[in-house]
Amino acid sequence: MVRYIFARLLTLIPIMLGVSMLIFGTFHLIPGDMVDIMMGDEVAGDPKAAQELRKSLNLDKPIYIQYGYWLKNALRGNLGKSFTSGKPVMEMILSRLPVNIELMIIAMVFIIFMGIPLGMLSAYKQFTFVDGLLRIVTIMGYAIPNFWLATLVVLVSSLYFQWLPVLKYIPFSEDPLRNILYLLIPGFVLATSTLSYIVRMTRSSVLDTLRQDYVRTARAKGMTEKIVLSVHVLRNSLIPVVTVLGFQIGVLIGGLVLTEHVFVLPGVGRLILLAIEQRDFMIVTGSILFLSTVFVSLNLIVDIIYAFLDPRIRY
Amino acid sequence: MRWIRGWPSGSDLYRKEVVLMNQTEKPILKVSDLKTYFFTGEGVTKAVDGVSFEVKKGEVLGVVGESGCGKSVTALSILQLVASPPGRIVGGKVELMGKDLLSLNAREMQRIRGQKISMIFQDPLTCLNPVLRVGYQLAEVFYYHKKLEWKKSLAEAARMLKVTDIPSPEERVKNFPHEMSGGMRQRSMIAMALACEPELLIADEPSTALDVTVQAQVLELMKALCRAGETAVLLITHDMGVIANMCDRVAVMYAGRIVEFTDVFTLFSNPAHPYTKGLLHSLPRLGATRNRLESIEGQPPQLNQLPSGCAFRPRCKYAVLRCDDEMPDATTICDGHEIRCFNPVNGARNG
Amino acid sequence: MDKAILADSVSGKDNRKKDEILSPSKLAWQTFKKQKLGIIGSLMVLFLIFIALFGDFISPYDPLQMHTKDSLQGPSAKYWLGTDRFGRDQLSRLINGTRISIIVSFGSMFLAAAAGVIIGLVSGYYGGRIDSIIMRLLDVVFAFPMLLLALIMVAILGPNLRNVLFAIAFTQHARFARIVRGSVLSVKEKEYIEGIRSVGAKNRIIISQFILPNVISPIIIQATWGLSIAIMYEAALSFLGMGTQPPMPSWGLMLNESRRFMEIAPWLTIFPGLSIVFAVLGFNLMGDALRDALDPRLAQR
Repeated sequence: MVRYIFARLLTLIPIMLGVSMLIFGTFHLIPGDMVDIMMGDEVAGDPKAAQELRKSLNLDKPIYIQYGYWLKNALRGNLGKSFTSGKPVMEMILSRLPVNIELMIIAMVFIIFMGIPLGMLSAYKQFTFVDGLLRIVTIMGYAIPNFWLATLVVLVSSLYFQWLPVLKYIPFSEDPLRNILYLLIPGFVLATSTLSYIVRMTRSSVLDTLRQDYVRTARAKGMTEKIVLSVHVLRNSLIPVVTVLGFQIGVLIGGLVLTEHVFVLPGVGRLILLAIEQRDFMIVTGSILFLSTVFVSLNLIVDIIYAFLDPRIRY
Repeated sequence: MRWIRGWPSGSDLYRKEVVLMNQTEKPILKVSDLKTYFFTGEGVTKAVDGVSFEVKKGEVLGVVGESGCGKSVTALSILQLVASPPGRIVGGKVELMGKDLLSLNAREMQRIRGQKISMIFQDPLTCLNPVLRVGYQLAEVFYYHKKLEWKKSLAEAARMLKVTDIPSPEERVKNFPHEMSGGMRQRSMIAMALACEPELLIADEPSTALDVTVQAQVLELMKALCRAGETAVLLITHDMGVIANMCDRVAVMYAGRIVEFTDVFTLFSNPAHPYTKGLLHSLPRLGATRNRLESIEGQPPQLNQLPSGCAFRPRCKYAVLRCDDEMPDATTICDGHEIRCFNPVNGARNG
Repeated sequence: MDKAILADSVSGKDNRKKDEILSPSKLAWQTFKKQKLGIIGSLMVLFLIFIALFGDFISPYDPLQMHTKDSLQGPSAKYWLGTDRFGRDQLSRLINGTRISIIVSFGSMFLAAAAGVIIGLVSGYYGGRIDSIIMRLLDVVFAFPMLLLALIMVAILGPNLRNVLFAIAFTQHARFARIVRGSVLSVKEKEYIEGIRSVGAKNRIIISQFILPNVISPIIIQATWGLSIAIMYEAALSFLGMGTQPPMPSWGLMLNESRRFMEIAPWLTIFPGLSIVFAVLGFNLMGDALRDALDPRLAQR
């Protein structure tokens, strides 16, 4: 098991190198001279200032050296300084990160503690009304864009349920309870499409597992249905679901951007959007590098959980 | 080891004795007119259509027939493990030492399974849970049925692995199924089944998925353990060689019914049903001078499209007119020898 | 040798049905038909394609034309789905938007599939170091959350429809490549490939006659699902302002524009969203039915 974790960690290195290279590469694909963009119209044409700026950004050196500096800094946590505000990018990201973390946690709680049980229920009550209803709901739920759902929620609440705290945000430091409460709805909206998908995946996985020979063996040994389900079926059905969760985390991270946009939450997603609008590429590349690293790390955790569940792949 | 594929050796006095001894004793298991049908979109499949037999204490009863003849479904019906949306036991009785199992509720049936009647299946790889350790799966039986403490259950599990000839049982207990060989897995299954010393062990093609060399070992082990524990065995197979070496009495099944039922020696020396005769003739024999392997012409019928009359009629060389119209009932030819045929081989009739 | 039978033996399907020998495509069609949801999905897709093709003839008004006097009107006899703040007819805009969605989704999927097939074939067939390198590169693509990758590409290249198409294609091509590679590997292992090789068949023939037929079904399934993903992501990017630009009537953009007057003109929010749901649902249902029909393992369910 330890060997497996170690091996997976090793594969992370080339992947992260590739990711950073890709991001760095796109940074340099920006049409137009970066310095001109950064300087904007005011100081355009001032060669001395331009030269200084270039030097400070290492833009005068060959590309691989630039990459080296950038990577070295990134590994130390230095993602550069924002073009527009001058503040360190990492600081900006970290100050806005708590919102994202909370949203993700809320969404994952919904997905794991609502989605998986519903999926199991749906499977066990196959051919009944409950199953049919759940199937319809999840098929629809997967097709509803979460940014539309978010917009509708804002619309409906502003029209009919003004008391619902939808567009309000209270920082955790001020009032932790209300902070979480106000994030519940956006968190749920974020989770919707993944939730639907997980319910369906769990359902089909449980149905598959129920047909396996070893479940029949367990019954033939005289194990009660409760034991059969909780010991023999549960772990085995979770395995494909965990596989899928890894990718869904990526969908959720993307969804963060959309959800924050609609609910106007001060998270990293909005930071990226505003930065793109203002052509502040320092922030853009820094944030995307950060989020990708988070994504890859979360995937690693998911892989470890998967190895924990399924002993066959540990060796 | 007298493992020669083919015919029972005449010097197996022990088996003859067992057969004789059990003639008068009450049966452990009595199946009467069992019917299990499958209701699917393509009609009703009569997988088991009026099967009756008895298993006496300590004996090995073989059930032989081609794929799809209903032998596995019969076994599953005894334990009520038939997949219930399409399948259903529609009639008959299954009596374990006098108690009708079909009348029990789920809880009571759970207490029977694994304790009074155990079952092992064909492919030990898919029949063991791949994410749980073998020791755990074994200890479960002790923990839930015998109400032992968990630590004690694990110890018992190791002991059972030793009993089934698995080397270094203390380490094997911690293995996962994919870390064991096929033979070891099947031995673990046997260990699980015999853990609570059941009255009856149902073995559904236990050796089919194993290598030839391992088959003999596993079967001999099973037989030895069952003899020692006085556990009766219902052995299902399609392999006549296994029947010859393992069984005391044999039931031959075709299209959901038992067409011949007798002790193993009579079956091989004096088969009465044309189907049995065909099965025996298609066995290759050492030293025989034959040019072609004889086979039974035709295919087994689709169980939802059975012809009227005797199910074997289309493939039978000895058919008479009556065979087209009716399915024969079970008739007794001699003591302990029943068949379903209007025109048995050698003209044997009610004696 | 009959390609149909050969391909069938690879997928291992039992194609006997009441003594009738069915070719795999026929069996697939029968299963597909049985899935009522799949039929509904396919009809939805056909409907969308029809609208995309003939939209110009059906739409009552010019989608770009502003009837400023009639701005922000609700659904009425004159404007079936109402008008926006510039007085543009929503129905016509939605119809025109269908074309954008279809073009972007089909275009990006075509690119992604083409690229994916080539990469997957090369990687799977030639194996060795090429395979390892390509797999590593694909892993890098997979290491990005999809929307972020598309965002960064569009942000760099500039927000317009063409770049959205490329961005979506780029994010999806890795999945196709992996599927194709898997398919190629599993066929490569089969013994009859060795047999054919030993008789001197060229790589070209092996690829086109044996490997490609088996690759086609997973590609079609993935492409259908990919179409729904593409529509969703084009809408998402346009919603964020990173995709189609005004005055183009793309659904996502319409949704974004609706937010300002949402409370007084809720119809502006509802209908574009419903269109997205309709399209995504249609392709999803079709993809699910195709998978049930073409995936041999699930054929028994």
